[in-house]
Amino acid sequence: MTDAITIKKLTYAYPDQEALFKDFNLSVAVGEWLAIVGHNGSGKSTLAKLILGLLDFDEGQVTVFGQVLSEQSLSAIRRQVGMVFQNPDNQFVGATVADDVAFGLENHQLPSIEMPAKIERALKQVGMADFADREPHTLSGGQKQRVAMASVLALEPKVIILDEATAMLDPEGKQALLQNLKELKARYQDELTLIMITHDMEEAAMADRVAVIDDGRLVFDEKPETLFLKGDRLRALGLAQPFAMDLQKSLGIMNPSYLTTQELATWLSTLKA
Amino acid sequence: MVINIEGVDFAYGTGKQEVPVLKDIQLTIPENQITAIIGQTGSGKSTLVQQLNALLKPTAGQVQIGQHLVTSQTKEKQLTAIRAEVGMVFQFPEAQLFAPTVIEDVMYGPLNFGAEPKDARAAAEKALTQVGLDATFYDQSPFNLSGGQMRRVALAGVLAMDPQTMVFDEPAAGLDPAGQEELLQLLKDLRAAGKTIVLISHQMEQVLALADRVVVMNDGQVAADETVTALFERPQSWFEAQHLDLPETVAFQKQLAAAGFIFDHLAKTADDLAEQINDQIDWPKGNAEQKNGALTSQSAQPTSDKGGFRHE
Amino acid sequence: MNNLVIGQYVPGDGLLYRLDPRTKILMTIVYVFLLVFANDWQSYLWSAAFLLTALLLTRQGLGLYWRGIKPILWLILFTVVLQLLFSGGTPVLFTFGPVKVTTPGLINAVYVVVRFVLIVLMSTILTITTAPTAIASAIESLLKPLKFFRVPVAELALMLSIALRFVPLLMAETDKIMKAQKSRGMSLSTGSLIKRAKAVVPLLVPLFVGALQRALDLANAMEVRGFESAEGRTRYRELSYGRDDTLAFFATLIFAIGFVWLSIL
Repeated sequence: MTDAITIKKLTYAYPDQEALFKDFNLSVAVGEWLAIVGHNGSGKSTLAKLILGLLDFDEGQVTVFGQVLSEQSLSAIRRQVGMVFQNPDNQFVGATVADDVAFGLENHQLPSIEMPAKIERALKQVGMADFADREPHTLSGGQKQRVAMASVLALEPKVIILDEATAMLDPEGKQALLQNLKELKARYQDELTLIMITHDMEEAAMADRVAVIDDGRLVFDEKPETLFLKGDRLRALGLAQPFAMDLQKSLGIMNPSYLTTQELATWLSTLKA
Repeated sequence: MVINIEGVDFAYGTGKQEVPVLKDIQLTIPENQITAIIGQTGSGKSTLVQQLNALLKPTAGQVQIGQHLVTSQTKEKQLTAIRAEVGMVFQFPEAQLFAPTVIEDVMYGPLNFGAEPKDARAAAEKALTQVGLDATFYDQSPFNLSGGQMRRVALAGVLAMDPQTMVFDEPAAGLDPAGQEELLQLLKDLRAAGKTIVLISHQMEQVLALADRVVVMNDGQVAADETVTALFERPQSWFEAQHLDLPETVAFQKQLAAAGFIFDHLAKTADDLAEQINDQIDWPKGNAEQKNGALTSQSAQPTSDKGGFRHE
Repeated sequence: MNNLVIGQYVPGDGLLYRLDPRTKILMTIVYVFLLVFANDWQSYLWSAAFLLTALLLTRQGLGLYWRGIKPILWLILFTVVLQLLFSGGTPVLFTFGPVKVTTPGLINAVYVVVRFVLIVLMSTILTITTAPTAIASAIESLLKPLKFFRVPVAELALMLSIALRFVPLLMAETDKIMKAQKSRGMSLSTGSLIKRAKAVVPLLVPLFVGALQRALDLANAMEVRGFESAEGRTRYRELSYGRDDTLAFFATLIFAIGFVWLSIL
């Protein structure tokens, strides 16, 4: 089966700098939920920009659903891959919530008459339908990010990349967005591939697979269950591990079955003297 | 230097358009301690801390900042002296960088407050060392640095003023775990050096790890003002009503307590919590094997409660 | 936080909200154009009556408009004084040192004030009842003929609407940077003129850098959502003339005819 995204022998350097990526390989299966983690400056966000052709790589090949990324295929690829960026303010194009969701549809030249239904559907999926006529400066950061999510969903992409989408949100906004992601993934199952770029290990734990990047190198590429057993290695890379694993370490155990505090608490309760 | 907030009201706008933000605040910021100010977005935290260095003047009531008294009538010219004593680090402070070189940017504060260029330079170098930037950075443009390094330069810009009291608004926002760790250490060092710290944070782990005292804001009013231990010993329902998270250690401890575990004190760290848990657990025979058993039998644990997307 | 009414959109549901933005822009232009020629009390009264009708049809309280006028009261007063002092003519009402206040001067002052207030109120009605995006697309539509001369009308309109959308954000950003630099001892109110001008640099550079970063981010976000060119995009909010617009055009026509008739009487 073709992968959703394949990166082969990618080499990229920012102007006048040493190569960030050298012969970098990574593939994402269709319907997979992949977390790409790494400390600030590890190159994880650059990777997202390379996949979407926002930066041009020097060598190598990026393939999206079998289609090789090139100047000719760029628009077609962007129709399949949506992206939510870090700063909630800097990706809000429209004057109102509905106008913002409409922006992509207008670019895709959808007839005006079909837009209201699509906009409403997309806003419903992120729980923002009641805010259609609101202006961006009246929304919280978390609400703006959900609108950005709706704007991407309205275009019905097969892959959504979230580039540190929760980094600038307060805990409430962050939880709402993550909850929303879970619901979307549950609804679309294999029709939706998620790539979440983050340095938050709680988020990484939600994924099927975690790719750890350090200075442009793929250091680990495995399930969260096994990755989080490597607490010391992660710390050395400037990362953390989920609290449940921290506590397990303090308890003197290492059991990858209990990645969340809920699972760990339930298990400990059964062992109570 | 003591900061006393006495009966302070604050509102944006006037007349019919008046939006009250702070209502009758009574507060003392204790010296040489870290006071955390928490509360959900829109509760008035940021407006409150702007009273501490007179960026905003109270609509009613008064703020005593060391020798200075600020009321609604205080003249703008009298406020600059206050700002030399109370430093303010805003959220995403890297947005304030402007100078052609790192060292000039950090010298900006000291020079404004009347330091001689030579002394300002010395203060800037000391501050940059404090945030972990060496001499190779001095003559670089701040705009060529990474996000994390820019944050350090901005922090140094306030440290160089050497204010007795320092206010930090979400200083760790957007930093990776290693960066956050370093920032926590910096705040601890400042306290050890005798500074008074005020910290706004959404991250309860930071509050638990750092704060001596916590002020909880809710809808422009002080909902709690007590030691960090007293605060987190409050019942979970109270935090839910305030729309606040609990630190993970505390949440976990409360969860186990609800399941019948008995704890004699609030655990501040994972190690502390583990010790208290271990005392109450009857690890089945062959302790080590049992504990690590699932390493080799992963399939034993159902993962279905993580939602429908996790299919293997 | 922002008390300025002029230029602000205030959501509502009066008849004027339902009009096509192009209709409102054209009405405003016609009105302002005619008002320039008003020179007797009859035509001013007629213009005021038309304005009052429009005002009531917005179904916003008159207090809103009063708040719109209030910040520019000093400007009005200044104009009155100028008119009173420098109009000349006879008869002289009274003298005050070298200053002579004349009857034509007084009448002129009153006319200028009325004209000024009417124009400000009419434009306020336009902006209060019309969302910035609607104004942008109306301008684009009205300027369409310019495409013939290769003017990139669609791009200009998109730029305008994005610029409008970023205004509140940039104001908040300015406030934040101002406070951050004040906390570092910036003072804009002391020192020589050159010193004060230099003091603005720590404000302007971060604003400029921030705006540039926003622009880059926004360009990325737009590209990823399939933006290639402002030409050929479809529209979520299509402009369409309706029955109400026809009515509005008739009302404006009646106003214009009445105005001309009163002027040549």
